[in-house]
Amino acid sequence: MNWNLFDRARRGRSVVQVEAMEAFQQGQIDRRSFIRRGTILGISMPTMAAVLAACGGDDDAEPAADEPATDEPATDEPADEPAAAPAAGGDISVGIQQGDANSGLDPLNMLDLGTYCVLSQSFEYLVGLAADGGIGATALATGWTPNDDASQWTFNLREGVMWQDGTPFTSADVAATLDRMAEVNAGVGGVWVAGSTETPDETTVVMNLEQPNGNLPALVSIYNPQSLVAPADYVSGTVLDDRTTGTGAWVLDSFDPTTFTAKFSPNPNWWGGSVNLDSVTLQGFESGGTAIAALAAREIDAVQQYSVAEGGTLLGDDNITTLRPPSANHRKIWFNTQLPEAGPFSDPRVRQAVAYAVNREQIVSTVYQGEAIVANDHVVHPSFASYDPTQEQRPRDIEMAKQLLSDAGYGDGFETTLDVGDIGEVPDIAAIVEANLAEIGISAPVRVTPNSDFYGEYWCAGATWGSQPDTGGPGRPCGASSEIGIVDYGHRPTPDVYFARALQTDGDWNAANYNSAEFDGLFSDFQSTPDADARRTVTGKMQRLLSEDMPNCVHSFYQYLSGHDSSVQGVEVTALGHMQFQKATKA
Amino acid sequence: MALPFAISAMFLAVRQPQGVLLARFIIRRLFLSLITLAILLIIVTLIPNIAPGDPARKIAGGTASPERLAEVTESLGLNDSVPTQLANLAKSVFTLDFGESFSVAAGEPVMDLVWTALGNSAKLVVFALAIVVPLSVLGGLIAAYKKDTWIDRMIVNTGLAMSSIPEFVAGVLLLAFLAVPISFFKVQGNAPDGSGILTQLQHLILPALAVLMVYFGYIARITRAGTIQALESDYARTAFMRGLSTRNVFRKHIARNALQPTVAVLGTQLGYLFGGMVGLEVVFNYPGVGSLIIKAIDRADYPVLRAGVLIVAIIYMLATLTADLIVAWMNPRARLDLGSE
Repeated sequence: MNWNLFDRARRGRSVVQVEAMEAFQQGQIDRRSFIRRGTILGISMPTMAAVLAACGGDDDAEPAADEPATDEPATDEPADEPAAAPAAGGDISVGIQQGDANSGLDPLNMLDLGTYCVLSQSFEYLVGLAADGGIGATALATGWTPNDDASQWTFNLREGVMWQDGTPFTSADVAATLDRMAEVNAGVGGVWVAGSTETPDETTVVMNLEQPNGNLPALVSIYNPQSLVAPADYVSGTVLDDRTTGTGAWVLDSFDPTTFTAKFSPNPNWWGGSVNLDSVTLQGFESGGTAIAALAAREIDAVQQYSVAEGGTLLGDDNITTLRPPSANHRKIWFNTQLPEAGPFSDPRVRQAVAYAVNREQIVSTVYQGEAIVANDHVVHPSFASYDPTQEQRPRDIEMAKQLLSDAGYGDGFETTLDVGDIGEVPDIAAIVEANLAEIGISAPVRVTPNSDFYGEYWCAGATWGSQPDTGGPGRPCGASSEIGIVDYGHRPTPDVYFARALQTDGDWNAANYNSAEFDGLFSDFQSTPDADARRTVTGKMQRLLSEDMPNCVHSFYQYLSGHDSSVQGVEVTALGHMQFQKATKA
Repeated sequence: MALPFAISAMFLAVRQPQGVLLARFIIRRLFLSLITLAILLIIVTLIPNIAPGDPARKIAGGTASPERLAEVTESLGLNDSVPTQLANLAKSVFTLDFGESFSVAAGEPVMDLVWTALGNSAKLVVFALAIVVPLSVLGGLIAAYKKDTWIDRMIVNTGLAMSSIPEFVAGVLLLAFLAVPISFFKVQGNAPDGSGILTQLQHLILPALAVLMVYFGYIARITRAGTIQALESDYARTAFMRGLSTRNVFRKHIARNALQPTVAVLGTQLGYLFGGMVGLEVVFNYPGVGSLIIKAIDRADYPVLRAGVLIVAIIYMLATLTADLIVAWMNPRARLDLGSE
C-alpha cells in the first residue's frame, strides 16, 4: 500500500469520492466496482489509476486520460481475428424494432428501443457510454463532481458544441432539458425539481437535488433514455422529424413513420469530428424473424437486437459479430396489487405462490438457451455494486406454492388472464408461466397483444385505482394495469430507474401499483447513502422486502444480443437499444 | 316465379340492344354497390363507438391527462351523435378527405398514407397475378386435358397441398430456403428508395411466389373443372368432329368458356389480395394496405382504419363488377342474362 500516493489522490476530492476510494482500499468493493463507481462519481481516470496503483492492483489497465479508450464494448469477436481495414465511406443499414408511433420521435416521451435508437443518433446525452459499457464522459459533459454529500452536482460541458441549425449549445439547453424531465417525472421524481438547476456560465451546470444522490450521473446518462438533451426552446411533445436538430453525429434526412425508417447523414459540424460512414439507415421491422433473415441474407448490415429463440443461427455464423453489452435486462411478471379490490393478487401470499411455482431454470435453459441467469424476484442485478449476494435464492417449490394459495383462501385455484406483448420471447416465457401456474391450480391463459398496443392498454393503463370516488385519491399512473402480465425492461447500470419508476409509489411504470412506505423510505436511503457498505445494506433490505411483498416476480436476467456483419467494425451498443455509429467503419 | 321473369327478360333482351342491357346492368350494380357502401359506412362508423376500450386512451397513452383524453375524443368526433359521425364519414368518402392520422403517422394526411400503401399493394397484387394467373390457368388446362392421368393428379394434389399452407408460413419457408441462401431472392418485399423497376420486381418475387403457392391449387382446380365441363360439351365435341386441331378448339371454344368461373373467382379474390395479405406483408416487411389497416387497429387510429377499410371495399366492389363484365364479354349467354338480373 502506497499511502503517499493514496493521500495525493484523495486530496481535494469530495467526501463521496473519498468514501469510494476508501471502500476500495478497505476491500469493500472490488476493482471493477471501484472503476464503475468512480466513473459515476466523476473521479477522473488518472485519479482512479493513482488509487489503483496505491492499492497495488492496477498495472494491467492504467487509464491515461479522461476520455475512455475507443475499443468496441461488449463484443465476442475473437481477439486474434484480423480486423477489416477501416475504410472511409459506406452506407450501413440496420434492422431495428418498430417504434411506437403514438409517442413518435419525441425524445422525452418515447418508450421503446426502436425510438431510443433513432433519436440518439441526432440527440446526445449529458453523460455518455464508456468503453466498458458503463457510463463515461463521452458525450456533452466532460466531467462532473458532487459536493460533499452528493446533494449538488456540477457538470462541465463540452465547448464548441453546436446545434445542427448552427446555434451554440449552452448550459441553458441542459437546464431546460432537466426541467422538462422533472415536469413529466421522467424517472427523476424526488431527485430534482423544475427550476432547481443553475447555470453559472455557458459551460457549467449545477444541479441542486432534493436529497443527496450518489447515482445522479446515471440518471442523466444514456441509461436513462429520456434524458436526451434538446434545445432550450424544445417543447415537450415536439418530434425530431418536425424539427430536425441535435448535437449528435448524425442529421435526420428523412423519416417514414409507416415503415419506421429513418435515414441519417453525417453532421459536418459534430464536435467529435468527421465520421467514417456516408449514411446510416435505421429500418423498422415488425417481425424480428424477418430482420434476422435480412441480416443472414446480408440485405441489412446489422440488427439492433435479437433473441436466441429467433436468431440462434446468427450465433453460429462466423461472419456475424455478436455484441453482448452489459445487461440487466429482464422480463418480469407484475401483479396488480390493488385491483381488482380484494382480488387474488392483492394478497402477497398468492403472489409468493406464483414465485414459488415459476420454473426459472426452465426459462433460462429453454427460452434463453443459457443466455440468461436466474433472478431472485428483485431487480438488483448481481453486477450492480450495491447487490447483496447473501439473500437466499427462492427455490421452485410447488408444495409451498399450493400451501400459500390455500392459506390465502385459494386452495381450489382461480382464473385470471396473463397479459403480454408480442415482443421477442415474452410469449414463450408466458407459455411456461401459464403451464407452471396450472400446476398449482391457477388458470392463466395467455393473451398476446401487439407490443405497440400493449403498453397503453394493459401495462400502466389509466388511473382507475385511486381516482375512484371511494378512495378520492389523485389517481395512480398505472392504476388500471392488468391483474398479471409480463413486461420488458432494458439495461440500467444502477437500479435507480427500476426503483424510481417501476416500484416507488406512484412511479409512472409501476404496473404493480406497489404502494409501500417502507420501500419508499429504503429507496430514499439508497439514493442518499454514499457509503458503499451502507448502500449494500440498504439494497439487501430492499431485495428482501421485494421478495416478501412480491409486487413483481423477476425470474431471470437475460443477455442482450446485437449482431452485425463482420465487415462492419466499431459499432457501440447498449442493452437499451442504442447503437452508436460514430466510430463505425464498413469494409 | 323464376320462369316468367326469365321469359320476360328474354323478351326484353330480344327487344333491347346489348349496349342498353350493359348500361342497365352497370347502373344496377353501381346502385347495389352504393347500398353496400352505405352499410359499410354504418359499420365503420360504429367501430370506435362499440370497440372495447377507450379509443382516446389508446391513442393518447396510458398516462395521458384527462384534458388530453378529452381533446383526442373531440378530435375523433366521438362527442358527436352517431348520425353526425356517419354524415361526416360519408362526406369524407366523397371528398376523399379523412383528415390526419392520429397514431400510425401522427399528423400525416390519412389519404397520403392510404395511397402510398395502396400503391405498394397494387404493385404486389399486379405482379403476383401476372405470375399466378397464367401458371394456374395453364396448370388447370393441362390437368383437364390430361384428366385422370398422373399429370392431372400431380397438378391437383400439389396445388391442394400448397393451398393448405397459410401464406405467411409459405413466406417463412421461402425466406428460409430461397432468400437466405440465394442472394438473388430478397427478404424484404420493399426495394430501397430509388430502385429501378427490375430491382423492385426482384424484391417482389418471393411474396408473389407465396401468393402463387396459395392460389395455384385453387385457381387451377376451378379452371380444370370449367375446362372439363367445356370439353364434355356438345360444341366441343362438334368442333373436334369438324376436324379442328386441339389447339384451335381450346383457343376458340374451350378457353373462353372454361375461364369464366376463374375470372369470377379472381374478381372476388382481388379485394382480399389488396387488404388481406397482412401475414405476408409482415413476413416480408412490406408496407401494404393490409399492414396499414392492422397498424390502425393496433393503435386505434380510426381515421386511417376507416379510410383503409373503405378503400379496400371500393376496390373489392369494382373488382367484382369488372369480373362480371369480363364474364359477360366472354359469354354471349351471360350478356343476355344481364338484362334479367
